[in-house]
Amino acid sequence: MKRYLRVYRAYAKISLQTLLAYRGNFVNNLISTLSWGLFSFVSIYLLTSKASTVYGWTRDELILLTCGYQILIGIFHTLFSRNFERMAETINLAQLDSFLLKPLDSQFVLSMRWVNFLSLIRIVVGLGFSIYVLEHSTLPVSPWNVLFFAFLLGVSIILLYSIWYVVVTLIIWYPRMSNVVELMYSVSGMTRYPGEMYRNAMGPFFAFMIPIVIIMTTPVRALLSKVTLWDVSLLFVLAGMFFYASRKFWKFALRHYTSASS
Amino acid sequence: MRYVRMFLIYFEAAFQYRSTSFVWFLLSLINPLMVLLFWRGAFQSGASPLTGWSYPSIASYYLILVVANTFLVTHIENDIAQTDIQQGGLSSYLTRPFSYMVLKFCDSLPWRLLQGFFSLVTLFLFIIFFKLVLHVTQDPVLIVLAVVTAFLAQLVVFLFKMVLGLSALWLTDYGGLAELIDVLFLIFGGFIMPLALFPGLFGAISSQTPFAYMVYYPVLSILGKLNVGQSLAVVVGECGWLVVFYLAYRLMWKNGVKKFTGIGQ
Repeated sequence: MKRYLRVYRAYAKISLQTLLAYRGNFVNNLISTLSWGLFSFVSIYLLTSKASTVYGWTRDELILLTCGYQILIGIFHTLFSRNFERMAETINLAQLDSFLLKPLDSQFVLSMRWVNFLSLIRIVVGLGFSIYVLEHSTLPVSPWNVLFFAFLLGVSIILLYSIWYVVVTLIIWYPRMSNVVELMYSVSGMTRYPGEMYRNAMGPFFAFMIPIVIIMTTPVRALLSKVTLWDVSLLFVLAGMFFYASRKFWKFALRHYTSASS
Repeated sequence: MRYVRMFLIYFEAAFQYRSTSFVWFLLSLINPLMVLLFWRGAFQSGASPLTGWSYPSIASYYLILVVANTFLVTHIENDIAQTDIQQGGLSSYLTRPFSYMVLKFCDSLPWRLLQGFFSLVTLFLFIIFFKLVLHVTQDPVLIVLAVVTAFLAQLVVFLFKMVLGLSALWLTDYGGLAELIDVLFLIFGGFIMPLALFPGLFGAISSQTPFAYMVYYPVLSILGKLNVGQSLAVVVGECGWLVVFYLAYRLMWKNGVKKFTGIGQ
């Protein structure tokens, strides 16, 4: 464990040095991060300017859901998403061998070698808007709610990571579908809408959406003191199941990986 | 004739990547569908949140938007900026007896046709399974104007993306600009909601940007939301943006090619 923590610290240090060394890249990523960060807020403000209550969620609650999503996706993009993009490219270009030969767990190396510090801005933006919404609304949020929200957000990140890992692992069999990472960005974006929206529309197929739906809905419900024991238990069970499945599926996939003369 | 042959060659190449194309199509499907589901909830609460729009008409709007997006919006700028300029692939185009712009159009068109096919199949499935009635115009004059608007819109999008891609001749890393343009396109292209419903000054500005002419106005034209006069005004607007982007392209190409260096190509 200590060895992995030392390695992770080294990865983080290299990531930060790379970010600061290439100033053009820094500005580039900053524009990109801010653009997408603001897009979520612009879209929810525009949507809720016309509909103040949707699926039982009020305008303030919907905006808070978006704020929670910004924080979640900010953490996820900081820690993982750039790694998944590179993982897709690595598998597609048959460059996985060098990672498999390292004396470290391949899942750890592939999914955690790059830290995108600029995405911390999205967390700051999300927190800023959350504080603004809570100060200007009558939503009942206590410090215990905030702590519970933060705890469940951590569990949600594990679930989101595991879902991404399972999907990106499919590229070992279908290298031409390396753009599936782009699809996962949109799928992750589905978490910023209320779960009731999908339940209403999808009927019996809603079961397939449950892991995506509860990622953001459960922590925000906890923040609003509306969460149930069933919601929390489901989140924990699914996070555990998907994490276990991602490990097993990755090990299974490696048995089918064929490199190309690297 | 030679450009027809080039198109067929590019179509063959695009068809090899049909599964990749299908994933790109899914990307363009997800966001409009999510917003449509959002409005479903808003309408179900009993209110009429969108002045001048019923739920069937807004459903038609988003579904036609998906189809229009797949047929009209090319993504050639990444290919130009990364493969051609940053990796030096432009050198091979400079030595060919073909117009770079026409070649790129032949390259992008098969992907539009392929993804457009996927969107039409999806639309058909939506109509069958959800028993949707599409609210599109039946007036022959408006149909002709809708086709003209859509055709010009594709040219506007293509030239705009060519200009965006060529910006990589000056920008070391154009990715941030590209993502900013993507966000502006989503907002001002009518992907969140019809631009006419945007509040106040924001609405007034949004209907005048080039993004509105790329997908939004063709969709309104197909839905019959524009009368003959408004459709003609859109056609004039699109012609105006075509001139602007074509002149920008010519200027950037003339000055940019002088700057370009392709090492080892």
